[in-house]
Amino acid sequence: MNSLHDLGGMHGFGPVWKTPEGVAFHSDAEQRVFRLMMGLMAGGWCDTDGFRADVESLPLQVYARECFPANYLAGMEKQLERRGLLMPGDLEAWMAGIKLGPRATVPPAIMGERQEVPLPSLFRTGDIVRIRSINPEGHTRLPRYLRGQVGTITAQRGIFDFPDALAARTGRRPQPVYTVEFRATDVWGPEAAANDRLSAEMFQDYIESRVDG
Amino acid sequence: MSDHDHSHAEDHTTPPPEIQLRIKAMESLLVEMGVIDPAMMDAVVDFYERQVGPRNGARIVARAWADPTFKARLLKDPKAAIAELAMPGISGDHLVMVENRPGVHNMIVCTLCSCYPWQTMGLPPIWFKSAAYRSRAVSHPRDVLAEFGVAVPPETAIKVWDSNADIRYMVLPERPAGTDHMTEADLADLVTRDSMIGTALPLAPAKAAP
Repeated sequence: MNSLHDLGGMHGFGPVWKTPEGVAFHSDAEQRVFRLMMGLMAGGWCDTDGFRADVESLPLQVYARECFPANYLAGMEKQLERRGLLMPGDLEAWMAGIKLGPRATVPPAIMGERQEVPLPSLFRTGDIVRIRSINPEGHTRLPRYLRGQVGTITAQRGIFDFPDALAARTGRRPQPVYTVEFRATDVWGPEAAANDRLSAEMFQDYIESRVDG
Repeated sequence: MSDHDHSHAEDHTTPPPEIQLRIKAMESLLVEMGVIDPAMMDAVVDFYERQVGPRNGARIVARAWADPTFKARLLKDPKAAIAELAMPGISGDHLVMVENRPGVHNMIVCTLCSCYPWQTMGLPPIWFKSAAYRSRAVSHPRDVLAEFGVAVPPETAIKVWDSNADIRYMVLPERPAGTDHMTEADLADLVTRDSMIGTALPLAPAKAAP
């Protein structure tokens, strides 16, 4: 999804700002929302990839406020609706003293339990590879600024489930993950420093092919 | 922290009153429905509020500075090396240490959300989640570092690690000069959270907290 969460390289957000060390939570709301999320994830009512997809799907003007507890609550509400635990309007009704009808009591499984065979590893450390140019409307962990770029595989990280498929609930699609290093000047042009490098993880499905020469 | 920074922290974590009410109502409704377990949630909050945090990471870094054989093991197999420190509840699963050395400065970011090494560094600071940091850490790392007060000479390469998948990165900063006489515990006091993100250098010995 090409939305505002995919921030790498965007302009206009101003200088960075800092917050002090030694503070786990900066507000009561931040702590409550974190606590709620941990409870829902433990119970299977919210999953990482689905939750990220739902936060990314918030209206741009809402996401742009960067009020993190508000955005996370909205993401969790969407997750609960998807699982049939709450319907839109339920919380308002309950707050008004109206008793809710029967709702899901057990979270539906996100996907089948079947063990899928991982994709065979196609690349090795040292390979020069081109990243795919994709524009999926669904969730992906391939940032826009690296699409179509050429980089070098610097590490093989093992087999991981594919977040794009998990969020779409089409299966696990386990596959090799590689760390790929890019030259900053390849990605950003001559204004970047010649010796700077960027690294990111690439699921094998994000890699188009080896680049010869 | 300046007033400016304080207002940022508040703005980004304090929703309007109606949303604050909604958060509390959601919590009450879900407890009533029996789908969340308050005792379990309290234990998780306590873990991240009191037991885990950047001091865990600082211990790991200080041990690496004090013991070169530990450092070699840490860079090769962080999970096994961190297990040697026997920190309750802490594992180095999927953790990768990136080492600063003369000519190389590392910095971590998650451009897509806020992935961060919770186990060794606790929950991420608010600024790490901000659009201001996530947008420019990858495209203008030297400007971002300058805004954090870190000057990196042009001949030093900056390596930015975007945590876009399951791997979590932590920076192993360079041991400051003039610390040869210091104990491991004193060294840990020089290691700040931001020095393990790569947006700061460790404290100089004289400036360390007492």
